[in-house]
Amino acid sequence: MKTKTDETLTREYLAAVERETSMLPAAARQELIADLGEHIAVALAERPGSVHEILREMGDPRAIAETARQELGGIPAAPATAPGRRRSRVWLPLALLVASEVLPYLENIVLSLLSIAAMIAAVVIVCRARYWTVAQKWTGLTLTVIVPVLAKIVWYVSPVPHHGSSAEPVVRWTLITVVFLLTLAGTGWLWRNRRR
Amino acid sequence: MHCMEPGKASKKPSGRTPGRIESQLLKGVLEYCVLALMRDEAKYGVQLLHELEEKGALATGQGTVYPLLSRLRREELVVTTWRESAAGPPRRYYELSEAGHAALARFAAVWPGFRNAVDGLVIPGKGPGMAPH
Repeated sequence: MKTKTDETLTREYLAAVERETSMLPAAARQELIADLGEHIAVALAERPGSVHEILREMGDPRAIAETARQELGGIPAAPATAPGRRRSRVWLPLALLVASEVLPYLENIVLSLLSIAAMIAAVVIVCRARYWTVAQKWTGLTLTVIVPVLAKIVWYVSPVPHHGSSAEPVVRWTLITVVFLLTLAGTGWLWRNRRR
Repeated sequence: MHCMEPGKASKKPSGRTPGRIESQLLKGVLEYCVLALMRDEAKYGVQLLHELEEKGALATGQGTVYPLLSRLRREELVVTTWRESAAGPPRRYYELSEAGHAALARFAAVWPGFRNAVDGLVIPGKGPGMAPH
């Protein structure tokens, strides 16, 4: 087995720091990486062959990232996100939910398909998000997705005042309004109850 | 001028996990320890970190000091110059600016009173009216 060169190990270490500092402004991040790179190069020149020791002394990339964040002051922490998992914005699924409710009424097949995609995406994001408890997710999604979808299914399969009948527009618009209000209520509720 | 003896770092007895108390305390004073190290002469990064560690003023990995050094540069408490070296890449030397000297002097003026106040509170028998059990 070939052992890794100093250069490879250094690059890997700096890449780890870079990953952990994704929340920093780009300039600060580049400066930090440059500083660390210079340190490692100087230390290696003074102690050839001790790259492992030098990198160990540099310490955990996460600790460096955390210190850098504090030194810059006020950049909100990204607490306890699992590695590699980005934290999505809280408004994103809510906007998607509202969009998925509005788009189908624009009478365009592409937009209708998009609305389905938006709804699925919103459900996935809400389920994975850390902003709500499981119970809150259920409440929010019941209001914004489950009831509206059930209502629409009932509308399409029910025989009562249906297409062509004189009562249709009234029932139709009532349903649209109720579903839209439910969606707004659900998203508003999720927004108010988000964990900060 | 300075040379780093390899293997010196291994004298650290407890390895890489210093106590929580030490790291909490050092957070507030590390900045001034770093400034103090360059009071008399310009020093480069590796050298500063080595001396910090030697003096027991570093409770975390060396890398965590660079964000601090970066802030000291930004706040113009230190000025840096690049100098060529006989061995390896050029070094960035850190030196106290006038503002850096002033900040260090302010800290040095506050510190003894602070230290005494804490001593008086936490060391049994030292505080006024606090009898040791």
